[in-house]
Amino acid sequence: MIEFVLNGRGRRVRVPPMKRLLDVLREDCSLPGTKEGCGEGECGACSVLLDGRTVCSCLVPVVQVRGARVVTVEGLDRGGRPSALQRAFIDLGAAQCGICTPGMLVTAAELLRHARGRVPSEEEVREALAGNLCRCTGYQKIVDAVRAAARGASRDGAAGTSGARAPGRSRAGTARAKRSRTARTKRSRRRG
Amino acid sequence: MCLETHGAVCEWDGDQLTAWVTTQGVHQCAQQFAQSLGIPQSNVRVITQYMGGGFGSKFAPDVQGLICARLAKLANAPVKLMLDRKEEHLDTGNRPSAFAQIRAGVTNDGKLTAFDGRSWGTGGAGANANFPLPYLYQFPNRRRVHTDVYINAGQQRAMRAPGHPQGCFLTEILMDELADRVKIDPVEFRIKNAPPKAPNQMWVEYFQQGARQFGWEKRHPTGDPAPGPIKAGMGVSAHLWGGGGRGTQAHVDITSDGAVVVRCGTQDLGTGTRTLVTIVAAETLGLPTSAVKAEIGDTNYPFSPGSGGSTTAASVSPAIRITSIKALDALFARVAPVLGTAPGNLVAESGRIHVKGDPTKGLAWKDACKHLGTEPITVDGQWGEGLSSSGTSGVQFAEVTVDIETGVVRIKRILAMQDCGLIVDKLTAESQVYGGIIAAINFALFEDRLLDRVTGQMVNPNMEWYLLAGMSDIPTIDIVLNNMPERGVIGIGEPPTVSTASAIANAVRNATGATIRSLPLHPHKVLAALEQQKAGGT
Repeated sequence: MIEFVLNGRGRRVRVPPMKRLLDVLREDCSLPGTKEGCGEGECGACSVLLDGRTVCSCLVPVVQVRGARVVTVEGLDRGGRPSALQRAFIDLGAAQCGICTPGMLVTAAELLRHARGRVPSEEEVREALAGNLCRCTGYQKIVDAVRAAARGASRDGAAGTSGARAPGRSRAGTARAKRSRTARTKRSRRRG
Repeated sequence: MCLETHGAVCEWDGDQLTAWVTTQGVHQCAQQFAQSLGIPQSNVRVITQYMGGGFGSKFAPDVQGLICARLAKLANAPVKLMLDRKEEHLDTGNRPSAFAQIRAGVTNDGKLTAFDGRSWGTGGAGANANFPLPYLYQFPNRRRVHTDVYINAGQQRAMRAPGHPQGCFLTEILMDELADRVKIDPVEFRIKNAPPKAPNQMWVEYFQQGARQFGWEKRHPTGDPAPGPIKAGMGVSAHLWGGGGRGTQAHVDITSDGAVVVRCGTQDLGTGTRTLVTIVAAETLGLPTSAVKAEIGDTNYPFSPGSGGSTTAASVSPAIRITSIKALDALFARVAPVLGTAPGNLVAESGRIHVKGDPTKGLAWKDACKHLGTEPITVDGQWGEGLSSSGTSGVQFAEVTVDIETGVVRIKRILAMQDCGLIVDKLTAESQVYGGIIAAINFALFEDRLLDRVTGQMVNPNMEWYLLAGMSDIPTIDIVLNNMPERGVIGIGEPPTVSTASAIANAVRNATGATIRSLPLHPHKVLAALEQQKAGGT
């Protein structure tokens, strides 16, 4: 039995400890918002917040989230209403097919929480979301939406990231490290 | 390949199959299920509420869909079968390759005289790989021999703008080399040889307007004279596409509670078809979009063709418009007696039905619908001539920097001049242009299916080594959408993805002076081209 906090509520699952968090969320917790893209930590579609940090849930064995707080895209709304970030994605057309969208939202939510009401620069948004790939390639509008949400949040004093919580000790440090390492190698490979 | 892999959920109820498939064409998918499984098509229902992108690769049920249906039958239970990432790479098609040897003639004053080309391409095992060549420009004398090469690899699919990026690239890099040969600016050279201006051929205007907006006059001749390893350059390219509509059918219900439901068996690939259906119906009925429910993606709804060739908007919009007008006319006929006027005197706007020119003499939409009583308005309609057409044109400009020590290309900015007839929804139309351009950046710099030369096996069937552009690879993109309402709806999914890669390749040539004749421009290829240039060029 593995216990953790999922979108603010306690959750117990009886699953094999090495089952991917991604599959536990979709199959055992009936939260299909988290999508599988590549299955190897390259595309970021399956991003969730683990103790406030973005991880690829395809790389996290569920045993690693024991006692941790997990927030999925389903946990980003505000009592059933879209958060400022989600609203900005809708209003600015920042989603096409939608498979990358949950990962984009979760990763952007972490960025906005760290920004604490400051509007991140376009460069900062691009850097923060560098590990999230979009095949419809709606990148420009995604950047615009994240910054619009930040502007809205800085206006009304509320961060559009209700699901994101204070950072704690990362339980999936290995996954996080692998992911950022991957992002780095990907970039350096592209630059030669 | 798509971010959502190909796959299906199949469930049988007796001899009735319901298949939730990630497909670009629910009706044709149902037809193919029926044919392959040997059952009547009326026994198959295909549903695609939402899907994770298709890009030309998701039409048929494919092997995985048929296996899924058969397993569901054997198991007597619903079966879900989604391909994994490796299977997605190996089994769901790709853009066919292209290779050409070209000789061309040009006069000293820059008029093209002749094109003589031999081309080859492979669409895998038993599939064709032809593409338009020469592309767009006017060669008074032309000869071209194409050979399809069959190899033991997965078959090609109709990846976004089939054939055009290949033909465009081969022709456009030739255009820059020819322009240099006769010492004429590439934009001027293209204007001299572009087809004459027509509503579907706006290239000359786009070249001129785009060059001004882009700052083309700052472009240096081939080879950036600036010292240091970072060289900058500009390139240009033009494209065309057909688009246009076909026979979509639709159904509209208006009930006494004022609810409006529009049903159409089209599907939304992520391009915004559901939005389009809602917008067209709402505008026709004078209602906010929130008052219209669009139901699509189901073979239980009226027929609509598959979404390919940038034909969906031009197929669906007229059908929804015509059917909504029919429904509104039927509603007018029922409401007119209540208002003591003839149906022809009524208009629907701002959520009200009222007498033309006298908004006070009317009823709110909901109050008007109450007069329907127990008999709702329920009408069928279909696509008709006059609201759509085909043929689009576009020109793109690119500015890049190239690090000649590492071979790495960075794209600084892109300007796209594009038309698509009547723009139905600017937001989603722009998204298609952004998406098309960035997909073409993938084509230009990143995506490369590597096959083992001996075995034909794909050696990079994953997202680690099959590269895609990320957010930090994206330049500033400016879009100039030329709205041409008089042309009707045309479609925009494909045209913007055609010429970006050619403009980038020409910009790399302009920056470095090296001859660029192959894509993608991975650093090692750029370095090889630079080496060749040092060795005396081609």
